[in-house]
Amino acid sequence: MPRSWATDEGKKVKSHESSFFYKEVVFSPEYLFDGDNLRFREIDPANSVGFEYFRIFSGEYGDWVTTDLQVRFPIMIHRKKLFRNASANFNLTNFNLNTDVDRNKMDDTLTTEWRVMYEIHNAYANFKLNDGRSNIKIGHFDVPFGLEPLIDTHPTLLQTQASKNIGFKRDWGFSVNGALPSFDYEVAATLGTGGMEKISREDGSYLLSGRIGTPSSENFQYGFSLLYGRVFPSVFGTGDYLFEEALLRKRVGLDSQYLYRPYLFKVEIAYGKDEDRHVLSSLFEVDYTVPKYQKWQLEAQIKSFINDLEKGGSDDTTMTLGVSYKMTNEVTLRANYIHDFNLRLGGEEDILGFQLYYYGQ
Amino acid sequence: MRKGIGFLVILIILMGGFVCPALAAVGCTLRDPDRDVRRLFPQSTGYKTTFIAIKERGGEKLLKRIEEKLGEGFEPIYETIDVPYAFYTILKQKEIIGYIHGVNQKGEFGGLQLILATDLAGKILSFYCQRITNPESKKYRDPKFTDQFKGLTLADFYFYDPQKGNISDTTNPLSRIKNPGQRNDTDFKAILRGLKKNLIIFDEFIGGNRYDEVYERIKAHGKHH
Repeated sequence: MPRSWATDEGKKVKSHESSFFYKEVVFSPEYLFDGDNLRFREIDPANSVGFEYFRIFSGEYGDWVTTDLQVRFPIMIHRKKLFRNASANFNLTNFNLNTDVDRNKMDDTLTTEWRVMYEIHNAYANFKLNDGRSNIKIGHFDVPFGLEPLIDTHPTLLQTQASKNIGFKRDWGFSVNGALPSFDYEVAATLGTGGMEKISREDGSYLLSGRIGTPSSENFQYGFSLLYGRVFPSVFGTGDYLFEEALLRKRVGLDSQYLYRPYLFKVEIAYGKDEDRHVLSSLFEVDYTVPKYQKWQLEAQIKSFINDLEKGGSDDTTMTLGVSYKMTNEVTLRANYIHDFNLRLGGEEDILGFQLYYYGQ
Repeated sequence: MRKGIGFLVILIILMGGFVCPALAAVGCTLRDPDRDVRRLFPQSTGYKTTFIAIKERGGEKLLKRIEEKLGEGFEPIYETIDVPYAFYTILKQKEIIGYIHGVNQKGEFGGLQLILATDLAGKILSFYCQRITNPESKKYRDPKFTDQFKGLTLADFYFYDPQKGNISDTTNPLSRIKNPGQRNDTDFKAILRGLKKNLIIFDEFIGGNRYDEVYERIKAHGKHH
């Protein structure tokens, strides 16, 4: 047997080993099927460079706060066209929303020339309290509703329904969160604007949200979420808005994930109201890791959002087939084919998307 | 715009400190650290989380040493030189009472996440699979199986050869642990390999290489791989 050892070996761990810094590069061209031709889609959804700085602060008695700062600098070559597309696709008057496009903002954007942009993704401090049972999180973080806070869609082409149900993925505010013996929970009060570029409230916006779910270490997980507030939905998850007034939004949601063999099933259903319209959102996804070639993953997803349950043809339904290949620990290549069954302005659309994602040194 | 950049700079400063050496994606962290620590160490009052990478601690030389001790080379998806391993140092007030540490390991249908709770000497107090995709995952998570690893150390695992998938010393307690699954032994062997790797990495980073003499002795007798 080995000789006896000092009991403070753990103190040899260096203080900087409680943090890490990643750099990120995203290149995601998209192409539209235009008859027999492929046409470059004049929207840059996520071409960007960025970084993430994660750090855990500890004292003599253990960890006391976890922080994360994740920022992207988008390269929006087609920013003006993005807004033209957005205004066309939103077709707001069709749904009798008691709101108008903020023309001044839009005109300003459409006449804006090149400028350096940034998007704040994570920017939070989670203070550990009561042995992890009731932590306090402050900053910009995932709104606790549905699948979004559980899965990291920051680097992926496939997205959840967060942008439809909430209007954005993350928001500024605070939350109480924790792990109890048989479930996790998070309840948040946030500003309701998404705030990727600044901390602001608009037109009395606010958002209350919460999720309770089974532990994330289980193969079968499920959760229940609630959301209520006046929000400013952003455009395609950017830091830009088209509305002049906040939108009253209510949701109740169920989500589930099931890991079985090489399959990961994801389901998310939410029902609620946008102003006086009853809406229904659903998502079903299957991810398949190829057992013999585990660098490869195949994905299939169907998403549907019915904008008005009382009005036919008001749904936005897409099917996505995707493939991803992990080239190295730092580089992932992705491709997907999206079929949009029912555009807001009628008709169908086919999109081919590609992504090179680097996350590392 | 200036206001915005200023806001961002202030935010970065508020996030604190300096930027550590770059690391790639984290290897295997606890999904529910607070819950797990309370369950595995009920007497604990807190824990410290640290991330340690082979690249940072010893580079290629250390990687080769770890592979040699493991008896097999690292594979490129789950085991790269720059993957930081998460270690949870368990405290009772200011006193260290144990550790929790995990590794990713290639399994039959995808990645396994194998978590160990050990005492200060690296003796296993508890083992569980945080992630396992096997259709018989219940059997691999059953305490009847996982409890058999309690009390084992790296000294025992040095008798396990991951390339051959066998244990060179039949008197070793590790040889008494049988595959609980009925389908095949792919994930069982992956678990043994992953646990051996986990204990080697712990011994290198935290344990102070206390089992090196055992390894050298086994190697000298030709019982290792």
